[in-house]
Amino acid sequence: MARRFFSRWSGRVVKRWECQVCGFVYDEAEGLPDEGIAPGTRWSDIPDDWECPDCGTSKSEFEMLELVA
Amino acid sequence: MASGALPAFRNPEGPLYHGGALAYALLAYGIGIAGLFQASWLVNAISTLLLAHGMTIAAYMIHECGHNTVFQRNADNARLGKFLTWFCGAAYGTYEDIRYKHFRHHVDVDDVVWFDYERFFQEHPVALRVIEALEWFYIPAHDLLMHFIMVFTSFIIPERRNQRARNVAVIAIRGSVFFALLWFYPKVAVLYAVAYMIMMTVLRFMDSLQHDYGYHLTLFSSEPSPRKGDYAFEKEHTFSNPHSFDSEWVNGFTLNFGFHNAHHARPITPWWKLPAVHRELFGHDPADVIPFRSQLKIFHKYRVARINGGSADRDAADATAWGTGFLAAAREGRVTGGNAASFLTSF
Repeated sequence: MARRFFSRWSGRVVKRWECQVCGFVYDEAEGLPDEGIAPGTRWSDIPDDWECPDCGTSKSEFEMLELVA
Repeated sequence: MASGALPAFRNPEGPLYHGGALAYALLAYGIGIAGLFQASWLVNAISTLLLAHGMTIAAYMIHECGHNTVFQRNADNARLGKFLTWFCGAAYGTYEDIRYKHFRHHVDVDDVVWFDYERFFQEHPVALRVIEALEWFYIPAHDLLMHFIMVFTSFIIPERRNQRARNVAVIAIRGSVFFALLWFYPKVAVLYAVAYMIMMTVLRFMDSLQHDYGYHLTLFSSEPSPRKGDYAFEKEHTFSNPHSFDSEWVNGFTLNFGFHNAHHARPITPWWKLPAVHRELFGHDPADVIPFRSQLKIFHKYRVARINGGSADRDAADATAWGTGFLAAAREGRVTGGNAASFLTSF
């Protein structure tokens, strides 16, 4: 729901990124408010030293899961 | 969740493979328990094995849930994982702690623990001798010690004191059922215990040779691991021990857990894809895995020596049995392997 709304409202392609160690999914539309990452924050805008909140692996261990147009 | 009340599987093949494994685990558990109540000793023996295997598959499905390979929503994976901890005696602590320690293992490229069993055995030589004697008789005493700590986790591990109410509730539920069985159906209680030890033995058999590094007491430490993210080291010190390299279906007995290099290279790969990932990443050479015959030889020959076999990095002790040298030595049955590395014991 949030993904569709954000995508339509912003006109941007929203991406989801999956941790290849634990399966945690970062959804750009939802962000991670508990981690201080606002909804709509692009993956590329997240600092390189950011770590998976679930398992602690580095950002480089994430892969794009799907595109939500 | 796509729609309705049932969670959606993450993979299209999930209903067949994950669903099948789950159904088997629960059926084997239920039929196995029922069979323990029968009068026939033959039925009892078959039921004990079935129960043990049901618990083993439940344990490996907890591992799948931990890596979120089962359902699309991670909350659903967590719910299933928590449910399954009740089937393999792992509910005394929390599912979150099991995952935390397991992912420290993956991310830190280390065995990150709280309990220093090597020191414990140095300080308690009588306990060591008793465990050595029991292990000589193939009783998994070292892992029973670990399970004892797991049962009383909130009373033994200071950092887990805040789990005491939950821990006491689980002890009360499981303990009362077990002691009721022991009182009214002692044979059932004994056979359940036998089945549990068979499950422990299968799990430790698989874990024993999959890494050649020792443990470090950093589970509750915030200091960064020196090997964190060193995936070249991880690859060099991770080993595969399938039951068979040629007849892949046999490895379903432990949900392909023996393809451990593939699991560490791509940890969110569901269990049925691991053999294909192994062949894609590491090739088709059987010389890259530890043959089952060698695994059996090591399991038998070093069952007592293994009690302290996994407690230290071997680069200091024996530089030849380290990394690729470990694989060569393991293939010839010349390493001890290690105990107490189960993902079910979260400390």
